[in-house]
Amino acid sequence: MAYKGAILEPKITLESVDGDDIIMNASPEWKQKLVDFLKYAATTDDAEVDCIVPSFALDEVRSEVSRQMQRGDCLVLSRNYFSKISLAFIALGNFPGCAMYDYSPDDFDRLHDDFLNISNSDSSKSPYRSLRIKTGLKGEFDG
Amino acid sequence: MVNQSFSLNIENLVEYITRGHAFDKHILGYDCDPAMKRINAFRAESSNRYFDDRNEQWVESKDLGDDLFIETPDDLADYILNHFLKSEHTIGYVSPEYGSVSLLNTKDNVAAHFSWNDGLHDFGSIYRYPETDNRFLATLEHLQGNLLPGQTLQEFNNADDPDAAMKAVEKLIEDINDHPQNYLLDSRYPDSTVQNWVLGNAARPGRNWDFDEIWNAPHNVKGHSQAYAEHHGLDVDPEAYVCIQSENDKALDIGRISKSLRSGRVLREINLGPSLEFEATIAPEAA
Repeated sequence: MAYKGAILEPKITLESVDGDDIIMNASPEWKQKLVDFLKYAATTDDAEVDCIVPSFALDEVRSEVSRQMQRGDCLVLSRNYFSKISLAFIALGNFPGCAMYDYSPDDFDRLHDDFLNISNSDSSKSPYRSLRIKTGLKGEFDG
Repeated sequence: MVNQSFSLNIENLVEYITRGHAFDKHILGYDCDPAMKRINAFRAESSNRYFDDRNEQWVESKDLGDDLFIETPDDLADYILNHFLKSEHTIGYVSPEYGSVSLLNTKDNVAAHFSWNDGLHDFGSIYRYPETDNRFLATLEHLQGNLLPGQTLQEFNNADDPDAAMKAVEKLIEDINDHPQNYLLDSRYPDSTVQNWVLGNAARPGRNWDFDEIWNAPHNVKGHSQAYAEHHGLDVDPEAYVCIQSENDKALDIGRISKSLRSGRVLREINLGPSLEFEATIAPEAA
């Protein structure tokens, strides 16, 4: 079963893919959470993120997401930037109870799973990654 | 402007890694992950069992791999140069965007990254966690599926070519030496080359004195542990064996004195052993 505070509803979802752009639905609140995640991922010692995606690259992506904070519920990222976010989530994907600043670990789990879901809908399903939020029977079998 | 007196080679690259954060985190056990906290990842054969507060249940220990007998920075360097890079079980790839080399030894469950631009300026890392192989393969799979136009992902396997991993690392080193301008740690500064900002740093390998509160830290210790030397049949005088635990304990004592001196605390509050008094006397000048 899911954690008590697990956020079961996706918060960042895929709208469409237009050439090199990945167009997503994301409220300003969750864009801000993504910005803060990127700041955390670029500086944390929780996992070896830097080995997979350099901190300066995450800073570039963070600037781009920040720039789109006023664009309502839309977030448009190039495949390259989307890929860098996904790599940061892979780096931290196995870290238990990710301590992302003052946020609840549930926020981290939600962001992780949303990006994994978008990744999977954009490419083949990975046998090496699993969702952090376990629900129902699936959670029991994954456990 | 590149300072030509500093040239990168495989030995100093490995030295930075083995005396850098990887030593603290994965040998001394200063790891935030409760599964790995306070254990030497290269000696422990399983991770910690710990209580997960959030899930309100115990997380069982997981298999890490065989004991690799690594305890000191020199043990780790010997392992990288003479075992890891040469092992038939080592696979890897070159990052299409940054040129860094990522490697996984599937038998030992150890991953290493040789990177020129990591934030700590210690050329990457080496580590092992219960799911090191999964994370490595997830990264590789992601890169395979997300190449930009014109990019290629160079993958290799020592089982096909025993020198493949070593050649990939040496190619990175050669390119950094031949084309330093392509490896700027901060693109705004043309002098932020590896040679100037990392090798030109007067600090000891892998660490920066400015950020180091501890003198004679175990990162500086030279020599092999008895366990590693005996396991690999190294020709080491038994009197030269290094006990990393006692070196670490000593360093922490000295670090406490250092902090107290800087904060103006009275020395007599600290229980100084005779061997530590001299260190305390020279502390302000050394710092």
